[in-house]
Amino acid sequence: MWKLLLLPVCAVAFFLVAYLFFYQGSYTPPDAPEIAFEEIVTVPSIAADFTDRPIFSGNPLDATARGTLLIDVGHSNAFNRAEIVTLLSRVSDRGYAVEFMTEDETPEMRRKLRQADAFVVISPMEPYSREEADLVVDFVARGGKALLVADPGRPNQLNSLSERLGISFRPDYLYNLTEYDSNFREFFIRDFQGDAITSGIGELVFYYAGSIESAGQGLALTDENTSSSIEERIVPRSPLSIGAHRNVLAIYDLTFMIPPYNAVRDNDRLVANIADFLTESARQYRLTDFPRFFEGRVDILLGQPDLFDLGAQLKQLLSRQGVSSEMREVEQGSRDMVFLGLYQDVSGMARYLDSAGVRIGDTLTAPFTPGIPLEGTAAILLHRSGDRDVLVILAHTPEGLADMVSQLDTGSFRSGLVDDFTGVYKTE
Amino acid sequence: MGRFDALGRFLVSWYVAGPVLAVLGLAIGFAVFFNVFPGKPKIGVVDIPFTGISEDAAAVITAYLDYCRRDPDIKGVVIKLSSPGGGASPSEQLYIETRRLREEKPVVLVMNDLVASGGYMMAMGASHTYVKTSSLIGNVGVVAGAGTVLPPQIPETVTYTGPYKLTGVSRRDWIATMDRLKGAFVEMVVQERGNKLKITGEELSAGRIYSGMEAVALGLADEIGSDSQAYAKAAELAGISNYDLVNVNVEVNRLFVQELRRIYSVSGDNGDPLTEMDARLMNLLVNRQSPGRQLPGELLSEAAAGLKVGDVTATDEGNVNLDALKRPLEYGALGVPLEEAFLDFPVEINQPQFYYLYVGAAP
Repeated sequence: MWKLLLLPVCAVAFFLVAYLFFYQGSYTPPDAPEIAFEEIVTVPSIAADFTDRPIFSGNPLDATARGTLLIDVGHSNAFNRAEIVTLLSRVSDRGYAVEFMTEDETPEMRRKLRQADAFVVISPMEPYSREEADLVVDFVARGGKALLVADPGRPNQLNSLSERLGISFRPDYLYNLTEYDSNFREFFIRDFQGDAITSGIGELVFYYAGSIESAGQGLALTDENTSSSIEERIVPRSPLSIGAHRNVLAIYDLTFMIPPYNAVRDNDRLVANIADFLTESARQYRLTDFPRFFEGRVDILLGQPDLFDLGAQLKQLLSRQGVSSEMREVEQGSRDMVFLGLYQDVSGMARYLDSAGVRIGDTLTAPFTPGIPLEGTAAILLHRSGDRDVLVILAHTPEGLADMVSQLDTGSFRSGLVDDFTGVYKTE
Repeated sequence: MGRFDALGRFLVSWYVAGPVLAVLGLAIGFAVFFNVFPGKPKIGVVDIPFTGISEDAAAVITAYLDYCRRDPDIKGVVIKLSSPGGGASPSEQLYIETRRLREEKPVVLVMNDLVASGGYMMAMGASHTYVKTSSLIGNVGVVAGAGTVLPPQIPETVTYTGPYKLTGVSRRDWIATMDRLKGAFVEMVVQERGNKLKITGEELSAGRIYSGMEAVALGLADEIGSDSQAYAKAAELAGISNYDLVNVNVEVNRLFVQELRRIYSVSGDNGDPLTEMDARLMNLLVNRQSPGRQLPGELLSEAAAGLKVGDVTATDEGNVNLDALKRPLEYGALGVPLEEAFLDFPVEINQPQFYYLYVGAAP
């Protein structure tokens, strides 16, 4: 019977040898780390309270708005009007009318800018021509306010304009991996330069913003954890800059003013401050801006009663251009005025002619214009003094005066300007 | 009787009974070892050529991993992976499945050309990882489509019962959710790599891609190495030697084809050459695994031609010879060019869906 044990012994021996041949150990699984998903939290900033207190408290229904904000939509601009509703409502609250420039033609732009006090350009997808940029440069130089807005998430050709104003939108976006709202491109800014634009602001959140190079001043500076997508060097960068000409403000983020992002932290305050900036225009008008330089009601003073019909024509012309007026017999010292008369009627206007360098004797003499015979001529001059504007329109004959009123209506008077405030004309 | 007694004594004597019993014992030992327990050890090899991780690709890979887990002879698994990632949910599925397999058997993962985003997430489930020096590794993060900042106005002809009924969530919350997923991904890498990791979660969240040698230096992968080292490592972790390699792709596909034939009752089970009907089934299989995509005509013809000439025949085990089937099967499941796996790749991610995906934008 002992022999039968050989069977299991051999089986087990084979098994053991084979096992040891193939198996030398066993697998010990690693400890499976527990991942605390419930502790991973991202909570977007909640809306902050904000009450806008506009400086202007006049009647918003007053047709004679304090000024006009012109918005460019003629360069295939990559935004829709609903996205800037917050800014527009703030601007309206400050007594400004809002108009849109729908054509990208230079004459249209020249005409619209003439009527505007502030100009907003947002992400134009078509570049500005040199002539168009010149118009904006001139507009800003004469006190008009310009707001340039781009967004790294939208195509734009804004540098074609902004670089003429000393501002460059860099082809980057800014981000912060350490601290952000809901996404690394939604970064906070807490370092501000003292300026009316940043007044009352403690913290902003930008949503997909880029950096601006400006010959002026960066107003909102990024911290040491915020980087540019195109440069590894970490330095303070600004998505909000004022130009060297302080009438130009540039912002490299549109999203921060779009609901609901406008309500985060102090973003609403920034929108209000931008509205203040735009509506505090100190636009300096010239004769070419006729009749935009008039504010409030304008008196029309006639050199002689026979010119009444012409005065009525002028009143209609002004009315068509949004300027209300009334005939007066005598000059009211504090109100804007248009004087319409013949050369022989100028005695009461002498101080205006003198300040403009215009003399009427046997000949007509004006700046850059030698004495020319009075016959068949007319002259226009704009006298600006403080808040008062006086426009003097003179001619040798009533027919010549009628021709000048007609030229004012059509705008052709601009071709006869000898300087910013004076024009001399040959009449029919 | 005397003669029988003598024979009996002879048989039970050591000279005869000893060797017989010994041989019988060895045979029993052989039979038990190789056929009952534990058998000759095998390393399962799962090959995932460049594949965008779609729902279908994840289903196929999951089947491979499941096969590895269920087959008792497979003591360790080597996964050869090249993937830019893909959908968030399919990628998470592969991480979970790989990790689950790791709890039972060692899983060694070889990262080939590109293992990014969701592909890298899957790799986090492995016991040990190899990279090539030039492999591209990492890209931790999430991409997703999102609507415009201001949602479009809904026409009054559409009515719904809540402010988020149509979109499901506000844009801000959608972006916050995406950030939470990124946080979970980062935390997954931090926890899985543990002390080996030499960079912070914040650095990881930048979404960088690292070369293989950088990945090893930073602790994102374990070693520079290739397939044979991976087999050896899997064997070492499993405590085995003298193992066989099993091509898991082929095994699973064979089972799949068998099941397909059983359902459709087509030829082949009895050893007959496959017919045109079988070719159509192959096409059906391809379309099931990659919806909306047709097998290219020439490939279909090639497959059908191959099937017609009868080189797909029954083997001794009654299973089909898979060589002719392998290419169309795998073409339909894995190794799919990303632009075919994801519509609009790499130009747009425009669906309200999360992806752990390296979109392939040029640096």
